[in-house]
Amino acid sequence: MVKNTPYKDTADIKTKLFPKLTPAMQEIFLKYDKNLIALKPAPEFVEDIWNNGLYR
Amino acid sequence: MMRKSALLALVGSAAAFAPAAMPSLRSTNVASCMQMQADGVSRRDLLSGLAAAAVVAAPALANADTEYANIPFLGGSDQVDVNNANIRVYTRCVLWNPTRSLIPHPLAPVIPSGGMRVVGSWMYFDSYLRANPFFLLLCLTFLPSPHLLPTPTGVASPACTLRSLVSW
Repeated sequence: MVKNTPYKDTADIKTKLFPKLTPAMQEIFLKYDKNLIALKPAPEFVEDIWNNGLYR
Repeated sequence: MMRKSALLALVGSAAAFAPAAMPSLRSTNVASCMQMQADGVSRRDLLSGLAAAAVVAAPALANADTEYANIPFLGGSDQVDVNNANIRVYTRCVLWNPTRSLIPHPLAPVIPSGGMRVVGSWMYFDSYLRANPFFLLLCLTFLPSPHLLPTPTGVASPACTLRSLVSW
């Protein structure tokens, strides 16, 4: 999901991700597709999108 | 003779404390003020100009966008903005935050009531796992299949759950 950003819209999420998912994942994706939105990427968030916040 | 000299000394010392020196200082200040005004840099004009500029700039500052309007879509609501949400949003699995799950998870009732001290933050859960390593084995034993992780971001959940468990 994060690796394929940015997405133009929710349909673009499906286009980019769907072929890479297993059938079980596709089922989950279709079930919760309405919970995903694709807003305009903000540089302050995109820059740090991979930081998982775990420091030790 | 002694009286005259003492009187002269007294008059001389008194003259030293007389305000005769003040007029020269005052005249200098007046001169400098007149010079500033002659140059067009009146202090009053300068301050009034600054005040006017502040009045003009204040509404612009008040309307500044100080907060990202779409903060709720970064993990605080049912909808996730896939373009801006941090990877932590996807790793926030039902297993670690059962109270935040939209649909109950089979292990969710176990975690908050199964002898846990505090559940609400995975940091506490982390400390609990460190103190009780056998509970980690229990979680790994009952690691659910992908279709049992009904999160909005369920696609990433199984891998994230496993990664979260193993990374500790």
